[in-house]
Amino acid sequence: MRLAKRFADLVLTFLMITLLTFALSRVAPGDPYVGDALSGVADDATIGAWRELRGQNQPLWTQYGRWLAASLSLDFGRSFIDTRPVRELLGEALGSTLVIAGSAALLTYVLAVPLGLYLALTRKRRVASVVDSGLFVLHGVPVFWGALLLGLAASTLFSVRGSFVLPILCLTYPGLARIARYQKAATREVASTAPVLLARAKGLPESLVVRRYILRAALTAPLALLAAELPWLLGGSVVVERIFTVRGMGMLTFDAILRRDVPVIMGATAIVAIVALASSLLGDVVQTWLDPRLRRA
Amino acid sequence: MAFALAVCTGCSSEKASEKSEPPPRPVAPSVYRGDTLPAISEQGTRVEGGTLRIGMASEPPHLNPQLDPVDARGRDLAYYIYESLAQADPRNWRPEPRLAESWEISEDRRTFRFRLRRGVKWHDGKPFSADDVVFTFEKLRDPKVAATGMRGYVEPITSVVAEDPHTVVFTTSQPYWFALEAITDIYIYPKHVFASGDFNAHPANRAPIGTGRYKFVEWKTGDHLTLAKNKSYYGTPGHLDTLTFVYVPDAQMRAQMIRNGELDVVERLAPEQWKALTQDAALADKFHRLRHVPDGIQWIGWNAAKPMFSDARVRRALTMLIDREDIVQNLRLGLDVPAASWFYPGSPEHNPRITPWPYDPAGAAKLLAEAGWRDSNGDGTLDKGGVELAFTFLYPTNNPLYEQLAALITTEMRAAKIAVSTAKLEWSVYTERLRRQEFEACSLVWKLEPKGDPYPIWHSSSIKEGSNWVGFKNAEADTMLEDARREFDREKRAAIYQRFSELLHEQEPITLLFNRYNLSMVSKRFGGVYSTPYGLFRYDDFFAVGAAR
Amino acid sequence: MTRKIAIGVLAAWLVVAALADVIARDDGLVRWAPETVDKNVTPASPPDSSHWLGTDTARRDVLARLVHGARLAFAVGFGAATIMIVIGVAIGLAAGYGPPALDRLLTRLTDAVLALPIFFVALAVMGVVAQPGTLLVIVIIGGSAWPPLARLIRAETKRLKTLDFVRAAEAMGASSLYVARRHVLPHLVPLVAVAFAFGVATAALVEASLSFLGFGVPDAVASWGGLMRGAAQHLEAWWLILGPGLALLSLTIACNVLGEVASARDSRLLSDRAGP
Repeated sequence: MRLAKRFADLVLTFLMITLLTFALSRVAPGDPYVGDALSGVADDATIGAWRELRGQNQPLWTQYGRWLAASLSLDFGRSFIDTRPVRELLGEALGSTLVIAGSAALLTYVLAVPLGLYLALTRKRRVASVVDSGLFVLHGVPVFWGALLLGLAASTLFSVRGSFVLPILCLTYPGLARIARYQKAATREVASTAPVLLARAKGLPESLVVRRYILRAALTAPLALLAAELPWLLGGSVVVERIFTVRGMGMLTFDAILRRDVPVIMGATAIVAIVALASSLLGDVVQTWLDPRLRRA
Repeated sequence: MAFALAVCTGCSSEKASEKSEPPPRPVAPSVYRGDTLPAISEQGTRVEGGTLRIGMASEPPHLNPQLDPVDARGRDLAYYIYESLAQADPRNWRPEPRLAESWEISEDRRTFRFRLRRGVKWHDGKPFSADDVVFTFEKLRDPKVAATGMRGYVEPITSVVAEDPHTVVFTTSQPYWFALEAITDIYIYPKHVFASGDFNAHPANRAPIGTGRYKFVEWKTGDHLTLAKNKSYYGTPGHLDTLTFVYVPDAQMRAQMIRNGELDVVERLAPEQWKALTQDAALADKFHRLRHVPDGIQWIGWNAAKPMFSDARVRRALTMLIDREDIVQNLRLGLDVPAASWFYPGSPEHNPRITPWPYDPAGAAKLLAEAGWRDSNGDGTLDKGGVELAFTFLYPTNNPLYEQLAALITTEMRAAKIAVSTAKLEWSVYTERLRRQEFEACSLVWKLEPKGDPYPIWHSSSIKEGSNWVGFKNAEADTMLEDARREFDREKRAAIYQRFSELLHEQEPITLLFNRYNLSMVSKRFGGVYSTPYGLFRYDDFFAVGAAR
Repeated sequence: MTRKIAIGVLAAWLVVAALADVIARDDGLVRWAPETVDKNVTPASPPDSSHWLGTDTARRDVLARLVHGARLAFAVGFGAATIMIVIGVAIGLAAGYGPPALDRLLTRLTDAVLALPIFFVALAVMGVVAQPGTLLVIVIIGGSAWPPLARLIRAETKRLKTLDFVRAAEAMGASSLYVARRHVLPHLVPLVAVAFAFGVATAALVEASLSFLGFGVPDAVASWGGLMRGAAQHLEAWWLILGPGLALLSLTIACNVLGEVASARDSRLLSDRAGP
């Protein structure tokens, strides 16, 4: 019952996202390529014909209904621009995005969790506070600025383009800073709870206390946070993809919006929406699984 | 005669080209010092075979030359694969037989009879016939076919009939010289391929089968596109075995790949980049550094429907407030030239007697005062009848040149007591505003055609139905444009257009800024390098030069 | 200590922003007005004695635009953060305190808005407005930044609802609107203050990103992100990247420090600070 309700909510959100996107794409005026056709002439008749052919003269609800019905069978239609199936375009873009976003997510987690634990549990307060401040500053560094600086520095050393290293780094550092600091705070919180204090008072070895009591509880937090970061990663960062000329989801969506390529906009939005909803579900599940208090509730 | 460097050699008259065909020759650098424009070579020992790697800044949406959206790169690629009935000879721009061997035009100038070449085979081995031609034009006229961008081309044609398998007759509603250009500009589709399936989403739109000198091999989207020599071409086949178009969207990357020797050709470089590459001593022996064919014209338009811009004196004064020499020298690094007349430089239609209005703020102030604009309320802005001389300059996003222009205009106009605000709009929104004439001042590039019809841009009927977005309306001009349409003799037509240019210059509906050159780098390992009047290279005439290194 | 530095940095930027017209004008300290083009130089010319921080791609003085950019950063930061607070609190409160059906709908709406890419919203909205200006950018950023705050407010409201003093008020027959205003809202103030500090930083960042992509404020308006856009064509022009970037960094870090201090190491708040 609870699951059914939860699922209904997800469907409702999905419909809202896609409908909002559809409405926005309709509000935005213009058919850029018509204006840019070789003849240089795009009169109302030409534009009318273009819209008619692509079914854009029909009422919004009809268009949306059709799109929805087709997309249930994963048929997102064909791009207005290059006439290829949207599914194919999404597949290509997702390919490079998955490599970059996947590596970035993994790297973030692998680096952030131990770092956060270390910062919370270390006795070397001075080192910890320096690292902590560093992370704080790092988090404030705008991604596009970081990317520009990295590109500037790296371009003097090697050919930046086509390499995935820099985009991965650029997508990793904001999450790293955020999750490591969060991990630190969460660990400290757990460390000050009654069971841990009791265990320490009983004289259990510190490593055992950490392993048995702190780790499990403290790992919850970053997982949920990482789940929240997935849509952002998978949606692709337009600025990073643009600076390093990666053909990922971000640039695909960006270009599609600029060209008013509605089927591609809709397909990309649907994918990102599904990922966002799935990851929020995942976040909940993980949290419930790891945190026994929630399991009972 | 070569169009390769048409502007300076000034050689495009058809008469001249009939007499002799001197080899293309280099042009003395007229503006930019320090460059070394090479003789575009036809010499060198020709070696058959080899691969040419061309850097491609944008990928075509598809490879169907007439399908929406029509894009310049797609049309250019289609040239190697498909053929039309006749193709303008890239060196003199006269129609040269291709799929048609000959053609005749009837007395009343309304019927065009084409005799087709026999024995032509499609790349898949099937024979070409008149059915293919009729099929092509039928498709383009079919409202269900997504060819809205090109439909205007075939609209004057009322019927297309195959008299026999080797003869096709076109009829037009009225005499119009451009009809022949329009018919021969259409690439012919293979009927046996496109007859079945959805034309708009046909697989052949991405894997075309044509009759041209090169065959489609593969297209790895986002990476590269490969064409191979059509060995069974009816005429002289291409010299190179393979043409590889490498997609490199990033300009810095293209430059880097030229330095690394990973590309043989890059076209349409930005002035800064071309300058950097031409000053690279390591590249001097390896690359032709070309500055050729100023086929684009950058302009600023004044919407004549707005009362303040309805006076020609005001428009002229605005031109005189814009320092075009500064734009050319500093923003274009001296690589472009100030534009004087609207027509293609070097073409018979181009009027060489016109000199641009000078940059002259004092003279502009005088003109504005004459037109009744003065600062009567002392607020620092000129006014007339209670209206301030203030306007908004609209321009499209994502081209740094426009931001540079907007900033410059703001500064210059402010000094002349004219209030300017600027707004940049995303491309599709921008064109929409132009089309609806919801703007005061705007800026764009027109691609000039070596042999085009200015009617859709300047006739008063084109305000509603064409691209006369600045609302230019002049009875005398209308008559000239109408007369020219019915004039089949190019010399006489050119005379009309020259007079029309003078009228435009006097009326100054737009401020011409500069003619934009094509800036390219081509490896010296290749010969047969020349440029068409469109500023394109014809890679099917390229050949590898023997023992280059 | 950190807090004092942060306040100092913010105060300094506020002074610069307030006095921008005096500092950077034709006869001011910087000697250049932000929109004046210098026809004697080439685009993106390096720093020299006339232009201490060089010029941008349109040949305007970088320092003058940096100074005036501070004004924009604050306008966007404060403006958008205020809009975000108003919408976020309203929706969060309504969801947390209203009937379950409303809660469900608003929560779904929050999720939906969170999933929309901001530049898409920007493009669509700018397309229908005749002359997109700074105010519109502020509205767009504020209008799409509220979901995280709404979630936080909703959760906090739900927690407060279970507390004794709120229950007592309800038991005494107070209307739910009264309770929300009188007993719940005041307890949200610290939360809102923290969100505002982070919101200013985020809004300034988003504006810079939008301007960097070419879809932010008009070109004539001096913006730190707009200056950096020029570096995309002129990779060698470090003066277009360094100054504006450091300015932005100092502003966002100062705001984040203040937010952090205010949140007093409450991990719940920390997690909701929006990133770039």
